[in-house]
Amino acid sequence: MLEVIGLACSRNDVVLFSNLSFQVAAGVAVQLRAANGSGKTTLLKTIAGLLPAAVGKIAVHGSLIFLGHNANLHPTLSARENLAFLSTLTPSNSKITNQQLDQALAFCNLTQQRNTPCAELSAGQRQRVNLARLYLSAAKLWLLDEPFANLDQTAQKLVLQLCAKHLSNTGALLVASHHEVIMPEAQLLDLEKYA
Amino acid sequence: MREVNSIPMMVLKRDLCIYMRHKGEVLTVPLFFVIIVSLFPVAFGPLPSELNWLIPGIIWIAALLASLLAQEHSIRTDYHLGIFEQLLLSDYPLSFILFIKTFANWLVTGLPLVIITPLLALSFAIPSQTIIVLTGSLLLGTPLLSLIATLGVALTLTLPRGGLLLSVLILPLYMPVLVLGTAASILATQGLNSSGPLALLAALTLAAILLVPLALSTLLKVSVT
Repeated sequence: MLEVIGLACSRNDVVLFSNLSFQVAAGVAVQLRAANGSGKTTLLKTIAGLLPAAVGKIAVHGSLIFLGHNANLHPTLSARENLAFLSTLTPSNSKITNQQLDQALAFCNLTQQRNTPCAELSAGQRQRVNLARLYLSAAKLWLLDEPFANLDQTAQKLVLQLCAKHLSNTGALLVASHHEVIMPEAQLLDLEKYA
Repeated sequence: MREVNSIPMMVLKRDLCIYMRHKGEVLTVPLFFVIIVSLFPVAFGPLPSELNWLIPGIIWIAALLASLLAQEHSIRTDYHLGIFEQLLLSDYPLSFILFIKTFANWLVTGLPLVIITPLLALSFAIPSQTIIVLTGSLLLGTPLLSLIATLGVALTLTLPRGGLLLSVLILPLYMPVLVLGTAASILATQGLNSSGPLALLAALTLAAILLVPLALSTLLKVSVT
C-alpha cells in the first residue's frame, strides 16, 4: 500500500531524518514515534504529497486520507456542514447521503451537536468531527497525525474501533502519536533513529 | 464513484453560506460605497450640470475603494484552516475551485455595487445613456477587480499583516480597470460611442478569468507546500 525508500526530509534547511525506508502493507498499522519537532508531521505530509521530499522515493498504491493537527473545520459552519464538505473531498468517497452523515455523527456521539457551529464546539468535539470523516472515508491508506489529541477515553476507544475496522477491510494505517503503544498489533517506527 | 462535478457546487454553496452568516461584513461593502459617493455632493455642493461627466469617475473610485474593503477573503481563512491541503488531496483542479471561490466573492461584494449603481446615479441626474454604460462597465469591470484582489490575497497569505500590503499591491493593478470604466462612461456622457473601452474591459476580464485562476493555484500550491 505504501512504500518509502531512502527518504530524507528537511525543514528550513535542517535535515529532520534521512535514509528512511519502510513499507506499510494492506491490513497493517504502523505507529510513528518520535519527540516533538522530529518530523512526524513532515513525514506524513510528504507521503501525502503536500511537501516535497529532499531525497528518496514514495509510492502510494490506492487513495489516501490525511488528517492533520489542523482540524479543517470552518468555525461558522455546523459540524454536519463541515463534515459534508470535507467528506466530498476524499477522492475515493462515493456520494455521501444525509443518512450516512447522521450515522457518522451518531457514531462519534455528536448527534446533539450536529447543527452547532464548530466555533462553539470544544477541541475534543472538533476532533470527533474528524473521526466522523474517517468513519465515512473509503480511502485505503489513512495518515493520521496525533488522532488522540484532545480526546477523552471513550473517544479514544472510538479511534481504535475505527482503525481496527479499517485494518480488517484491508486498509493500511500510518499513525503519528506520542502516546504509548496505541494498538498491540501496530508496528513501531522510531523516527529519531533516522535523525 | 463520487460525482466529481459536485465539488465546485459544494465549494460555491459553502462559501455563500459562510458569507451569508457574516451579513454585517458583507453589507459593509455596499454601504461604504454609497457613503463615499454621497460624500462628494456634501463636499462640493450641487455640481453644475456641465460637470456631470465627473460623476462616473466618482462612482468608479468609490467602487475601487469599496472592493478593497471586501478582501477579508474566504481564501485567507481557508488557507489557515488547512482546507487547501485537503483540496490538493482531492485530485480536483485547484484552479477551477479558486475560480469558483472568486466568483462567490464577487457575487457578495461586486454584484451588489453593480445593482446599486443605477439607483445612485439617478440621484445625480445624469443622462440615462450614461447610467446604462456606467452600470455595464461596472458589470464588466468588478469581476476583474475581484480576480485582481484574490491574486493580492494569495500573494500575502503567509504575511502576518498582509492586509496593509494588499492595498498597495493591488490598487495600481486596478488602474486599467478604472481608466477603461470611466472612459466608457465619459464617452457616453458626450453622446459618443463607448463600445471601444467596454470591449477592452470585457477582453481584460475574460483574459483574467482564464489566467488568474492558474496563477492562483500555483501561488497556493507554493504556499501550502
